[in-house]
Amino acid sequence: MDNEDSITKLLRLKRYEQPSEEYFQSFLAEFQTRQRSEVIHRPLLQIAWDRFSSMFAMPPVPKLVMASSFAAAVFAAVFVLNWADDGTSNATFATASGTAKWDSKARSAQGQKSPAVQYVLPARPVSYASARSF
Amino acid sequence: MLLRAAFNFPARLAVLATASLVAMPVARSHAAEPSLAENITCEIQRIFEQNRKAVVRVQANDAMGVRLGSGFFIDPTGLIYTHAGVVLNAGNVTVTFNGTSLPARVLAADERSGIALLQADCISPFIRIGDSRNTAIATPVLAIGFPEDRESSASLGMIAGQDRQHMGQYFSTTHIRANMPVSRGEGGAPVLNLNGEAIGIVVARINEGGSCHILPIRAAEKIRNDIARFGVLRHGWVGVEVEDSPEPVNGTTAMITALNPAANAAGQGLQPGDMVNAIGTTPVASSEDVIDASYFLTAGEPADIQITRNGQSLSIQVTPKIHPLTPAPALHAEAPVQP
Repeated sequence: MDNEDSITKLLRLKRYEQPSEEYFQSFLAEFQTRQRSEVIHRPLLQIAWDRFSSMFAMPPVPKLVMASSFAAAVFAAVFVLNWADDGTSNATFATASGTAKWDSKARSAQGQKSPAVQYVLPARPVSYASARSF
Repeated sequence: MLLRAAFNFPARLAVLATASLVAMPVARSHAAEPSLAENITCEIQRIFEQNRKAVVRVQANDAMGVRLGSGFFIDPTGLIYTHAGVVLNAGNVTVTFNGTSLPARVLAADERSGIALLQADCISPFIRIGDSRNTAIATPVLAIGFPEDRESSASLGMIAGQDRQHMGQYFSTTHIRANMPVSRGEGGAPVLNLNGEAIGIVVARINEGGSCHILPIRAAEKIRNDIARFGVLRHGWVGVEVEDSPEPVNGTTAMITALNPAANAAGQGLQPGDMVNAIGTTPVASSEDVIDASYFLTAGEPADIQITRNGQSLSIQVTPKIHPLTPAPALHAEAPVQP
């Protein structure tokens, strides 16, 4: 019984026991310092992965929607790559044939000289009249 | 006292009112009346603004590159006068006006007169044709053209004289010489009188362009009439050589010295030694006068030649042939244009 009483008293005393003021002042600063040091000392790859995964963190989406979106993206990528390939092959053909406009455009773009401009006003009139005849 | 009484306040007021009524219209008339310089400036600006839209830039391509000149509409159906040098032996002719570029067909490109006639398919503003015979010396004139790569601009000048030759070379007809600055690219530009009518076409610059030679519009109209009537140029040729005789006979010194058999002048009644008094309606007083008179002959169209033979005046009708220097019909010449 005595022990119980003494424990109870002790607990009552502990309830009113508080750390010193300095403890509370340094607690926040120490916490932030620890947090920063954790971030700084983490490997870069891990940081990047965390950011990447947080970027794509989405609310739960049905698997069917995810699959169809992925399929659409793949289809678009294939289409764009195929179109670009066609343009390249046309240009190659035109250059080989030497007649298509791609070729001429390419040649003109490569710096053919612009035609000379002649502003007309001669220094003497054009005349073929022989003197004193008709 | 009496005077002061007579000239009292109501009387003074009446005098003041009368004086101001008299003075006001006089002052107003002096204030409203513009000076002569202002009048001339306004008139020139008006002519320029009224006609600049009818002036076109003419462009053609040849093997050497691009040729650029000026031209102008002479009727609302897109008929254009320009310099022959712009389109002669060139292709892909276009005219630019009002910010748009149109293809144009070459109806005639005449080296003899130095001008060309083009047709653009459009409804166009046009410059009225004046009378180039009323061009006395010191008459002010205005040219509107496209100098080099610049926008249309005006040059003001004055008629300085009439020339039949330049540096020993005879013109096909008398040209007007004007003290008016022109630049390259203004070949084919219209020359206007102060009524806003075209009296000529710029065909050549003199020296560095401080003055220029102008083909009279009457000579250009000969080309247009030929195209309108026949669809081709028909410069006439009688095949006669003339020289000045030592003494005038019947008011002329122009004596026939030779006849070209290719033109069959002899067969039509002319003889060496005949003194020429007139060709058509144009009087001839000297051998140089035949240049102007003969320019307006039309091949195949009979013309009367007034001569003096053995002291006797005769009228001989000749039918000129095609002038040997008449250019071939333009490739793009089509139906005759409306005169």
